[in-house]
Amino acid sequence: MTNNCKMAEQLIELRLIDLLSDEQHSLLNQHLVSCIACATNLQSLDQSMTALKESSDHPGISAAYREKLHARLLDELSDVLIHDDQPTAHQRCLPLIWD
Amino acid sequence: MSNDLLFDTCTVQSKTIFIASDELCPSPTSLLTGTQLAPNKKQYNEIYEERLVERFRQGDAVALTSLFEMYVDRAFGLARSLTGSREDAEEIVSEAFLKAFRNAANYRGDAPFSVWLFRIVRNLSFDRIRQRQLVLMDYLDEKDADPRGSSESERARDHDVRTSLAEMTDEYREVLILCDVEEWDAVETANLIGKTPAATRSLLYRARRALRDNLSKRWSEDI
Repeated sequence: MTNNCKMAEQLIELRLIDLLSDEQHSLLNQHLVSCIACATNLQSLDQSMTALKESSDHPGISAAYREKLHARLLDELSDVLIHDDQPTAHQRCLPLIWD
Repeated sequence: MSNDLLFDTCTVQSKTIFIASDELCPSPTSLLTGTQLAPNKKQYNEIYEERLVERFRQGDAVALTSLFEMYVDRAFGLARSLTGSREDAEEIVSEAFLKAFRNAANYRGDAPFSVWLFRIVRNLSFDRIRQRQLVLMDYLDEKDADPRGSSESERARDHDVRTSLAEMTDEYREVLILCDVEEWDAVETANLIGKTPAATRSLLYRARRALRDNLSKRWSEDI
């Protein structure tokens, strides 16, 4: 591994965590064009991240469960909630101004 | 139309409109004075969340609904990715919201509601994983039963990734799931796992390399 490769390794780390400046980006690209080892290193890191992302893709929470859970929360927390016909403390503290 | 009504309509129908809500998020000039910088979107969200929690404490059910809508998808995604099981994730999210709302109603802690909520989700997920003996098999079984169509090569890739993840340390697996699967930023992840953002970024890089090394080994063996 050359000194340039060591520098490229550090730049690749910065690139993967989105902290690479434009100048550093251009330095890294210059090195990658001439160094197959570093280019392969970066490519394999990108590939594994893509594989992780794609294989972990899953449907989100279902609408039916979301609704059920919301209803359950309202029910189980009814002791701390004020019913619709009662004013909240926020509403109670509003001054009444009549013309 | 009262401010309350405006607030209710805005927050229930949209997750983003609260940014522009004067009632909940005062303009930068009304919030800040002197040389302070205007708050960014994240700070606005924190202010908004604080106000919702305050209204929930006063018994406002709409505030509960708004907080629920703000975080239910991320909470579910986190639990689903950590446990690898939809059923577990549903139970965890349900328990976590109840605990977080109870906590918000009864205590005035330093941590924001969302941080409380996600920490509860994380702890419950780890409890669930520890309870299970066959985490890896659960991962694979569930993926194999995935109703969505996928090719044989995609199934093989998914199997390799999940096996690699299952073989990693909890620390590496968690940071990969948070940052690369759930797309949390380094600061959010750091808040959750109790590290600095710099330490989190470093951990993430090491975890990505470990995953790459593991996958490269598997894929070279397959050839």
